[in-house]
Amino acid sequence: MVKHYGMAMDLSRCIGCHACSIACKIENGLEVGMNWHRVETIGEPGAKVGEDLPAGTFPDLSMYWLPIPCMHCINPPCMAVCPASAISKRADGIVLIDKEKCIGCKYCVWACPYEVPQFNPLDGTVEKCTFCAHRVDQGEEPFCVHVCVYGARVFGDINDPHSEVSKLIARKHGRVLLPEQGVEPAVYYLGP
Amino acid sequence: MKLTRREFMKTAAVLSGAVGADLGSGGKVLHALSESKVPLAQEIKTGVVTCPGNGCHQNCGLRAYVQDGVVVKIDAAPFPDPAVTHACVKGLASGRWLYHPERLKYPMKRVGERGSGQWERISWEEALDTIASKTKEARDQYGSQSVWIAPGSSSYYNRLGNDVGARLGNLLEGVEGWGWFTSGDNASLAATGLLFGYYWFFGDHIRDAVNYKTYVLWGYNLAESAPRDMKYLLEAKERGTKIVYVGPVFNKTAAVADWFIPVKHGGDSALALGMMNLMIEGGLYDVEHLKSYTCGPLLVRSDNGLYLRESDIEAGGSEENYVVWDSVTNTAVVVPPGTAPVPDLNPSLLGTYTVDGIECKPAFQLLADRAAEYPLGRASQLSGVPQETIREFAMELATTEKVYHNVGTGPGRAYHGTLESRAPFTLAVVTGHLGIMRAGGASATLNSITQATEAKTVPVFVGDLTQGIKDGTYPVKVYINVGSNKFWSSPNARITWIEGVLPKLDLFVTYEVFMTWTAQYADIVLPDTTIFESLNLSTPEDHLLLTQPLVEPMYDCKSDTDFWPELAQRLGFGEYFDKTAEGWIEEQLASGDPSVEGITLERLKSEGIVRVNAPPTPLHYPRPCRTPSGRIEFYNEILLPIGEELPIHKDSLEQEQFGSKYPLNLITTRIMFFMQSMYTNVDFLREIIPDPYLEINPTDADARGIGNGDVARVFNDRGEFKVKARISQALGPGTLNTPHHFWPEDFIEGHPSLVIGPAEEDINPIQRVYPTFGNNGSATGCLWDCLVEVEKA
Amino acid sequence: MGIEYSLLILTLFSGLAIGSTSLAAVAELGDFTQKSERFKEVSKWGAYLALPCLIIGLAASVFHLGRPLAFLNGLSNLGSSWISREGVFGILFLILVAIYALFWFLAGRGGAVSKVWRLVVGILSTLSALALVFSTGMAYAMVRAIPAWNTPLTILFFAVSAFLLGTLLVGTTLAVRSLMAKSVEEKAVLLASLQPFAGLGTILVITLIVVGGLRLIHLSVATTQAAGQSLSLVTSSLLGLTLARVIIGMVLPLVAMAYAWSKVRSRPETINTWMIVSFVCVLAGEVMARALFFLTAVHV
Repeated sequence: MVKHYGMAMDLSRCIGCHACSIACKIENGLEVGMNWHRVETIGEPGAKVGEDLPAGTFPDLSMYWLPIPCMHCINPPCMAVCPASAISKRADGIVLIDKEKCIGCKYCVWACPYEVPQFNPLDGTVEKCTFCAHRVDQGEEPFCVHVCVYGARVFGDINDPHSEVSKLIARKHGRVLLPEQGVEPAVYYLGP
Repeated sequence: MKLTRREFMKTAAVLSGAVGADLGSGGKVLHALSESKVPLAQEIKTGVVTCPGNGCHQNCGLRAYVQDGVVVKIDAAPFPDPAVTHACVKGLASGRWLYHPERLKYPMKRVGERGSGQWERISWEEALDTIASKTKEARDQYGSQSVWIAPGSSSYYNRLGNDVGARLGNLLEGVEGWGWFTSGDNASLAATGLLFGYYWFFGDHIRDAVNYKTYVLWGYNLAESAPRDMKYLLEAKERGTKIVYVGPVFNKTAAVADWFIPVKHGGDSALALGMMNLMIEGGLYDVEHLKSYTCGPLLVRSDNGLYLRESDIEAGGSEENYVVWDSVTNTAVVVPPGTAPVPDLNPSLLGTYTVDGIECKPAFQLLADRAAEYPLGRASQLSGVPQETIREFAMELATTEKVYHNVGTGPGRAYHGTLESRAPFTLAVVTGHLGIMRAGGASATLNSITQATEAKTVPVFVGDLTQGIKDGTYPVKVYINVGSNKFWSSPNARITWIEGVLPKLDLFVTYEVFMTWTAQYADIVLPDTTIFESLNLSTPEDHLLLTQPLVEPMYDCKSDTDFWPELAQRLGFGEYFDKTAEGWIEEQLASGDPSVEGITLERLKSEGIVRVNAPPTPLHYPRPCRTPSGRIEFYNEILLPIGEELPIHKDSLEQEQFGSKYPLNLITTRIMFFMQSMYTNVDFLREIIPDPYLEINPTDADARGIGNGDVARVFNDRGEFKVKARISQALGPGTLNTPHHFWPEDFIEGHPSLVIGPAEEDINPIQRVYPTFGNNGSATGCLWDCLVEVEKA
Repeated sequence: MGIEYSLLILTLFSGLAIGSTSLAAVAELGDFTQKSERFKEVSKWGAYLALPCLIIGLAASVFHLGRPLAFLNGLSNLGSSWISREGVFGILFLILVAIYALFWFLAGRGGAVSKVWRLVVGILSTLSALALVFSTGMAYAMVRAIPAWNTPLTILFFAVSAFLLGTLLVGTTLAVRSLMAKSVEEKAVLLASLQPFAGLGTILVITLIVVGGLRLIHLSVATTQAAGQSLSLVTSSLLGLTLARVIIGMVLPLVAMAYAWSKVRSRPETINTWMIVSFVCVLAGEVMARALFFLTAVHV
């Protein structure tokens, strides 16, 4: 089967340290205010990124974290709606925005169920997580995966049943976020 | 145009233009940093750097990528042992420091009142001349103890400069303030010292967590305080270990744990005693362990509370021998100190016996009596833990074989910190759950370079020192503070420092990377280099790491490694400072110890990180202990004068003095995004945690009409601060929490260090009765006993 | 979501243009078949007003872009992007309505453009206008990630809004001219032209109210959490704005137009004031409606 890169997030191993988000900024030279990756707190409803507010009533509490990269969907809504044809999907599944073509209409920002694309006011275009294509093309993993010491992130070919990521998804019954949106994300969540 | 920290945070997105113009090369470099995308190109050089955020003591290594003289990226440095390879979110963000627009750039002297913020640039020459002449003046007039050189952790830990500074400090024979105000570390050390006779962090290596069925963390937010170790806890959890977190706040560790047990600050003793009571009542304790390895069977005199000695019952008997009651022969039997088994002896743990007319009880009976004072109701009320939870927890621990108790520094941050830290250890002793304590990490044995001659500083506990400076006991006139944000960390900023110590000083020098709260009040401020700009040797577990400078010292900054020799020269000690930084490191490596065999500076220069040749350090195992009796002592005679010979719950000093006026307990936890007062000015990290906040339970908030996001005024008799309220279920009613890390500029008004008590008045009473062992005494700052009230501002 | 002001202006002004043009084409047809002067006023002003409105609207949409100068790139994905289609139809509409207005201008100067051509261009303009409003509606309605938008009612809203806005714009122009008319004949012609407006306006407002009601019902029965959040915004922090939108933008115009309609035989000049009042109210209402459209847009 054709290769399709994807990720598995093992939420039982994520402690919401945001190292992945910071790593992404460093790897991609992002400015303050531009974040291609975020980690959401799943606890009290309305908890903002970075707010460790647990759900429940003291002391019966629970909290976990949800790292959100670009899902590099099999059926990307951003690509469908882009009027400038600036978004394309590589043969290996990675979805990329061509900043030369982008006109900054922000339609993809609306269309993405995961609120992944980010409008960059400094150059008037939209940008997003690239699965570190520049690293992947050199045989390395995305930097966010590299820095996670807790093994909460695994990257690989989700179309290959023998890959580490596929095996993990199978073993721990991985699920995608918002499946009803019909975009078929390539990022799976396991646990917590 | 000087930016305030708030302004910087707001305008960080438009850094490149105006700011660059103001800063010269620094700004351009910062612009370059933010502009660069990092291709895996050939022209990028990498270098290994010890992580500056090492207040966690994990000593991680970072790999910095340098392109055209600019550090463009940070990653974890790969170690020969991959288990040590790690960089947490702070480490990764460390590169943002190097080019921070608010770095101190040149030496300055104050031209207004202390703290007025009016500075004049001076040269290093003038700075050194001034410091040297003031030092000579003070020594001539007041003697050698008029000088206090205080190394700190500032821009990086394990600093070579600290050692070189200590070398001068010793030659000057000034005072040395040892111990910490700030942490519960000392209380934990005292606790293990009292119980086992070992004054170092005690117990299993975290690698062994997976061997336990139940792993209990007491006031140890491991996820956020020791990020590298967290992977072991997660692995253990995945493999079936049940993780229990005991503490006042539902933090990241609690969230990952299987069970959160909500103990109030100051309630650990009551909780442990309540549990021990249930266990002893139910006969669920480790009889063999208690009989063989603890003071349990040793008879204690009812008249004076001392252990019964052989000398008490036999003429010519030794004071060193103890007495037990043998249940086989029904007689008193003398036993030597230590844990060597005595054949045919079955000592009693319970009962009352009369030996030679002296009524005695085994120490364990006394512990049982003490525990009986904490029935469930009382234990619950004092600890804040629901009765049913206490029962469940006790039963689980008593009936599970493989349990480990990892006691952190949280319980110790109290007036009765040692009591609080002792409690979970004592519980572990009763159930025989002391860990397997296989080997820990290996370390290199290096030469110390701090002792040039026999001359040495006079060590004074820092609480006594600050009090002594205030009342004239110690004539300290010159205080050189290197990278230690004392106002922020050591209570109370106003009472101890601004109004206390400072007026007594003729010269207050701070050596810093940024204009901290403490630096603002200095007479002379010296700009330090960061770890990226200087040479350093650090000792991560199992390895040695050489940090080589990646960029030239920025602006007019100078590493203190180079500063001390110049000061020494002016003070007439130049002959002892004839080495360069590399020379010092060579001397450190020349210990001749097998652990550093074959490890030279040249080798470190080329490899960066080298594994040491030492076997893993055998961990202390309390058989026999280094206590007077050679046994684990949960009964400490030495504490009879203060009524703490056994575990006991005591209300804090604050509770007695202010309990009725100020009903809320303010604690100031640490979170993993900052390291003490470091990293709070890193823009990326402030995107995640933008502002200080006050966690308050809805019950307390509603009662005071405080809504989420409202500005709250937290106050007591000592001072106040204003901060935004965050209504949270993460803590219970009666407790408030604000992360301590932020600077006064970040708070709406004031700072928590203005409400927290001055340490010298509230020293843990154990400090006064317990002999200190070198650097590891029992003194602690009771930071978290702080009682306050809060209202909507 | 925050209010996207440039898109608010785009949809408001393009709506005005779409409605005016559609009305003009209908009047053009009427004129063609019934040969009455009263239709001419309507189609002439419909054409004249549509052009500047459309220019303003399209300019606003270009300035909405992060890179306005690259706007031509935005026409490249006709295959799947409704924004591309919106762009193409917008440009087509602009060209056609410019010609239409030019034809009316020449007609006024005694130019020899036949009624047939004017009708053809008028109808073509209207078809492109309808394609434009349909594309605009679809661009929003297709966003499954924003449940409040994700319904055919969104398209209906923009369409009805456009017709109402355009109708009242033309009507107001005629009413103002009627009030300022010097001669009795002029006044009579204008009043005759205005005659169907009260009834038309009333029906369009009622349609708007029905569509609005259906949109609220759609929000209430939707199952997603985001839809629930949109609804709770309407009933809490945005309640004031919603009530203002309904009262000013729907109730008042309905009353005004219905009243004018009741007087259409007995006192036809009633329409003058009430048309102006309705238009101002509807304009305010449609601005508020679009503001609400963005403010209630909650992502899943």
